[in-house]
Amino acid sequence: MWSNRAMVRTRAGEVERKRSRDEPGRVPESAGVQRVLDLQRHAGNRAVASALEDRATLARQPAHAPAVEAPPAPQPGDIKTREVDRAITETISHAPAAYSQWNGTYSWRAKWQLRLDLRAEIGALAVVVRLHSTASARQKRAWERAIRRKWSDKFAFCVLRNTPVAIRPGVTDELEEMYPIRIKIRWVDDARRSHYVIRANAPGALEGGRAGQGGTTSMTGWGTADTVDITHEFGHILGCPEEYFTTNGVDYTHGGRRQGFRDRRGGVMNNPAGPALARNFDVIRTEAARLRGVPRRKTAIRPWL
Amino acid sequence: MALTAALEPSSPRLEQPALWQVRVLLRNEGDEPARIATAGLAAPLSFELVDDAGRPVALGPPPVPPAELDAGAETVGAGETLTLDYHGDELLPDAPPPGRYRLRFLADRVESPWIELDVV
Repeated sequence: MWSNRAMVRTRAGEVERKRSRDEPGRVPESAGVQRVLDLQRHAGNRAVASALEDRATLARQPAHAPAVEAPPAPQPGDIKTREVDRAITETISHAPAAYSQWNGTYSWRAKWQLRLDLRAEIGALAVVVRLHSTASARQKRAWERAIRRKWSDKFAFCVLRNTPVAIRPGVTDELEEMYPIRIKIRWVDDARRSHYVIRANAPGALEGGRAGQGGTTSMTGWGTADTVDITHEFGHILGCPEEYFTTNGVDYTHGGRRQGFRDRRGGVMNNPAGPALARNFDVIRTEAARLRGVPRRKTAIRPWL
Repeated sequence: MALTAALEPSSPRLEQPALWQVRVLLRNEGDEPARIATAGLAAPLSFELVDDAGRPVALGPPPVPPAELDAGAETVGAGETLTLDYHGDELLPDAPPPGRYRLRFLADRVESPWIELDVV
């Protein structure tokens, strides 16, 4: 799990299942992938980097690394934090006639805290969003679960090597560091301490029947019967613009071949039921590069298992 | 369709968008029932906000368009009024800089008179 170009992406356990199907005595090539993956997961970025310097170490790693002790307490400089508050603007155009009221320019602020844990044993980038809402604890859990499933542990913030390391002919590893991006929602009682106040809308409660999906009406007006569209609205909180009709000059109808919104193959900012995409972490990448102290061009967003 | 619109803000002063509301009264002045696609009347799509100098102020991001725009349509009988209540944070997730602003409802060929709004 240390280079998404260098190796086949393999989930834990798949190697063992594959091995059992393979002919006796043959060691599948992907066993090496599993060793690296396990090393990454159990020992972290630093151990993988060291192993790359010493292939023999890597080869000696058991397919499933033994349990390791709890990570050490953070030392000064191990954890970096940064409060983010950025203006986001988007312009929607070329909506079909029936949806022409969507054409226009919109603006909001993306606000959260970044927490970069540099400890090799942990290595993670947390996006901490403090929310206040009078919704029930059960409702908050449902929203939070939906958001985490959509956005958390899907991609990693990566720092690129100055010079990629050759693994074998034709295969290189270009990632020096890899931090899975995790969404942490902190529900706070004091609205003044929150990044956003979330208003809970019961579906149909707003007069005139204009309540959206399950009651969701806006970036901070979340429906009590909705765990889908709120994941799109949360994308705005992270700094993502829309990805429907034409937004910021990008044609999401793909030349008219798609409807241009709520498309079956669309990402979450086009179709709230769709997945988060790498480009949806663009603002996070920019801010994380600053926090890490590296130029943005030396970073990348890559899938995380 | 002879619809008129009027705005009734909860206060002429806006301190926190989430605590401020504005009511829109859509009245059918005609002789025939009027059908209104309310799904397309989300706050960022239906209001215009300008600052003291008349410069447009961008509203918050709109909701994802519904698959069927007519699904949320309302029929307003002749002489009847449809009431739409909006929370301030549906228009503006964050308050704009303090100052005097003007706001109006503007959607589907219906526009309300401007109202004054002091952001403090």
